[in-house]
Amino acid sequence: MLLLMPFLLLTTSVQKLAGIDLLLAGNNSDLPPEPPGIVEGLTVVVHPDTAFDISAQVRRSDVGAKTGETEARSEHIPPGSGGVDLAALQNALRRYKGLDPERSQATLLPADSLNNGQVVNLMDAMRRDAEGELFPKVALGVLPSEEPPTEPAPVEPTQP
Amino acid sequence: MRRLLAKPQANTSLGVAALAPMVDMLTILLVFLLKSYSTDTPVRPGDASFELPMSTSEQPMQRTLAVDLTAHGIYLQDQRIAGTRYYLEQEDTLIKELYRGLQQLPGDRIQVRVDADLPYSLTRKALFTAKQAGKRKVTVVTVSRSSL
Repeated sequence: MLLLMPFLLLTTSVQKLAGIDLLLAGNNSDLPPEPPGIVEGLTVVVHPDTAFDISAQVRRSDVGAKTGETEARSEHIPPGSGGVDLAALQNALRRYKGLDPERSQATLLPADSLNNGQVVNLMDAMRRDAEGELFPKVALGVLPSEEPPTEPAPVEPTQP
Repeated sequence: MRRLLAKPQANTSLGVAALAPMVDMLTILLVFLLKSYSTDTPVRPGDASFELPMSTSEQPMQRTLAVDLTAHGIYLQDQRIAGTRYYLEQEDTLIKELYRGLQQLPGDRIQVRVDADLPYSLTRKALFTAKQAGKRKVTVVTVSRSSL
């Protein structure tokens, strides 16, 4: 033990890096298809004041519904007293997870004014809460008002 | 003089009693070090203002093409290719210098190392550029909350 301790203290790094794999949503995006479930689309919009709008397409299950017919559900979460209300966001996402436990993908549309630290915190909150896994595959997109109107023309690569 | 040369009396019970808490402490420290052990090299050690976002993720990193977005510039494989301020102020969604650089490099996987305090708008532009350049597998690098 006395040999191992100095070795560990000398070779260990202060920072332990971790990665978050991203799905890129946006113009002409091809997100991987989800298996058909009750919740067909789940999007979290984050406004500059850190209010959330959660929208989802949920399959209708009443007797009169046609096959594959969905209804749009939306929910607005105002910012909490201390800023971002992550607990309310996770509660709402937990309800959708309860409806469709197989679903693992959700789309996050953050406002441009948020900083990267806030966006990563939001992604963490969407991936897991205290009860367990929520939506581990988070696709990042662009708020509709900020989305570029057309795809820019590709730039010709220069020869090295 | 006689007292100095005299052999010290071994007090075995006291020695054992003092050793046990030390072994306990060393064991706790060893478990803590093993749990948080990491050999990751620091990201941008020369840039004191650069700080990666913190995350609860534990997914280990792989070595791939690295794109750094810092307050001072945009870097590809540690080479500065563009200024940050210009692309923060411009409406352009494509970072042309990054697009050209990425197109010349093989592979479809990149890692993006962003400053936690930078606006998301720049990250969005970098992600859009990466996608246009055919880099579909993007990993955002963060500092794990289980770091020392």
